[in-house]
Amino acid sequence: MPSITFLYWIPLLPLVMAGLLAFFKPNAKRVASFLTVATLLACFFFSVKAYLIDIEIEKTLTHNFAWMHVGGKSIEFGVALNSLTSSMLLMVCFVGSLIFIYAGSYMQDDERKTRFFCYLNLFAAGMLGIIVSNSLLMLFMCWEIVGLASYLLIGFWYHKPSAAAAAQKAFITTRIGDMGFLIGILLAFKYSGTLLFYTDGGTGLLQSGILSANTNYFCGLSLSATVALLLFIGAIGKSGQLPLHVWLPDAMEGPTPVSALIHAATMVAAGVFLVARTFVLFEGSPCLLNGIAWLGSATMLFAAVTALGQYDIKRILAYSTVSQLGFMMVGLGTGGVAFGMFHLLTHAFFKALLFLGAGSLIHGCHHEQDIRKMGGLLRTMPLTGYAYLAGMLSLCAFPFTAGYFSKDMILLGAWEHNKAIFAVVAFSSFLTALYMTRQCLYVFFGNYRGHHHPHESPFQMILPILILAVFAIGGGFFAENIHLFTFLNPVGKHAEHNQTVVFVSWGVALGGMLIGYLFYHPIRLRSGKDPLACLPFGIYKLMENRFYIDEIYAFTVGNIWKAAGIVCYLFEELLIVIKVITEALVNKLARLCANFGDNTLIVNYGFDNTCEMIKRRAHLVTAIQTGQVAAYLRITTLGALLFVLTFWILLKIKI
Amino acid sequence: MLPLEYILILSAVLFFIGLAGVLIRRHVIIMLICIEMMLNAANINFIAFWRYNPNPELHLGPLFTLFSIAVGGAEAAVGLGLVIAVYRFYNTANADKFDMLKDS
Repeated sequence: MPSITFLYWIPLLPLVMAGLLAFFKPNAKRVASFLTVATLLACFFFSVKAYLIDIEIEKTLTHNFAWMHVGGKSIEFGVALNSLTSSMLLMVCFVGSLIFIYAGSYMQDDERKTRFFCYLNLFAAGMLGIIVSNSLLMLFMCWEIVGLASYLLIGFWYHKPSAAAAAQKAFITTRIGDMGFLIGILLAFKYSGTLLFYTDGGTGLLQSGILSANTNYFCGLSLSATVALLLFIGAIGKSGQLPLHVWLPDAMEGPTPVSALIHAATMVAAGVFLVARTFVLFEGSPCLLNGIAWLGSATMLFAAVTALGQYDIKRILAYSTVSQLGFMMVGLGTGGVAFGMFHLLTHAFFKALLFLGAGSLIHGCHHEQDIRKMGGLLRTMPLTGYAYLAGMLSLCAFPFTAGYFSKDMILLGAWEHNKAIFAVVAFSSFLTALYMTRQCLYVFFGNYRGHHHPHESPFQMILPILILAVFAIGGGFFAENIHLFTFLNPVGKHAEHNQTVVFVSWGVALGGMLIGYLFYHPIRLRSGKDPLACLPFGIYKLMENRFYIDEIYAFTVGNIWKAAGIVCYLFEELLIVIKVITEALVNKLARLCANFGDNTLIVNYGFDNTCEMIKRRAHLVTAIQTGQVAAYLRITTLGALLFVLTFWILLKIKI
Repeated sequence: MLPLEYILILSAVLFFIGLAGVLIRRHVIIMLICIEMMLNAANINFIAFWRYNPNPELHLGPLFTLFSIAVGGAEAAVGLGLVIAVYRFYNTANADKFDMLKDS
């Protein structure tokens, strides 16, 4: 059996590099980006090795070690290698390296470039750690590292108040989900005594069925389903499902490579990956799987409708990401691991491509993000343009692109599972094709509506885009070739080929694009008013304002915290009133006493004169009172040191 | 096993780096970070003495450390709240500028 300890290096290399880069000077020229790309390529090399070992040996390989022993129980860490790990590793390392190459050019003029790459490495370490981890706790730690890196990168341009606010929002919103995750971990540990997924002896969390023994633990859910539900809450937060999706569109305030890597291709998919990894826990409860599928389809529909009303090019893509993540959840809920994971992998390629393309467009249009101020860019930026169109076709599931294969699978799974979910998902796919067509017609056709002179981006940015475009178009055939679906799912169910589903799949993709073309024909866009604005009942306004979800949260949750703040404030005021009353009483008492004393003799001559004398003689000592807290602190420390020193010397003398 | 002295030296070094930071640096947030460092030096001592004592089955060291980390977290929260309040008052985070304790 081959040793898989080299898997530890995959998260460790970027982590070490992040530590190193923290010591570099902040604007080191090309070194930082070169080192970062080299690190990730080394990880890619290890991933290929892992993949080769994995296809050779079909069962799950593990390597575990005890991190600490507490009270008879031990907490163990480790790495596991199975198809889930190796496919995800290959994707993250490959897409990651391309995005790092792109970032080297995109962030070239930034003053804190090294810091940026330091954060990117930290992120890569966390993400790869999530993937290789064999322990729920180790996964959670890496999950938090990824959250931290995401916070740092969204707020990278922290001088922009919107970016700082978006970073905080992302951090706090995902924290709500993480709370559920943590409780789930504790629950699992309490009843099973281990946090490992797999062990060689078959005693792991996912192997022994230890958690499914308790069939009615919480409201009719078995123990394993309860744990699974709590883990899923964590996934909701990270993967931007309703109702915790609000942070993801705002996260687009970060630099575009960050949006591509973290908020489209990898990190937001970590929630889906978590569900896929612990899918055994979900399996026993059809009710829970149904819930996941429904939540996913609701998210998908909601985000697709919202995306139709947006004008910011990155925001449209962000809502598209939310929508596609919902789609993956549908795949997990209706079909199984392979359905969701297959779409996760293809989605990573074409969504990264779209984001990098959007970054190139924004770069070319001098930091203009409003699609109403673009137009006709296919002529001025042809390479980016055609690559972007390839990504768009893949996202719309145009037949035989990468997205088509994975989308077909999920549609098949949904069809067999529940017709209602299938209808929602098919309609959302139609909307997906519609909003992508809308965006592309706005951006690439018609006449240029901005005020700058758009130009093509440098080669270092174009190259990753073109490579990704090849995969976005041909990735499906590639995946079919290596039997990715069977690889991901050696024992689970397979969807039967179904004529109706294929027909619907072609219909929604082509129909969506056709209707989109008729609707958003470049001539109609000249008026500057969106063709959908004529929808009745202000629906369009609702879409434009993202269904006022943010405002609703501000009104409910925000006001609860405000009320708590007011209570604290009132308490403080009460304390101040008590203080004032006490002061007044003491003053009164003092006056009363003073009137009885001999004012003239003692106070005026005796006391006052002494005070004057002390005051005149005391210049030396009062000089110490500077009023500066820091200075006091220094003197106090000095005093303490002197005290210790004296004590020590006295002890020595005595001995 | 590593001699106990080494760990104590590590913790002492950490403690004095923190102390020097508090005394020398002017930025309030850096001072807070340095205070956390001193706290962690103390935590290392807890763990070290627990690990080397003759009866490590009593989990007093980790428990104490956990407790102290929790208190440290609370302290950091209060400290940051104070820093924000002070910053709003003085419009600076430079500790040398906080000189209103003196009766001008």
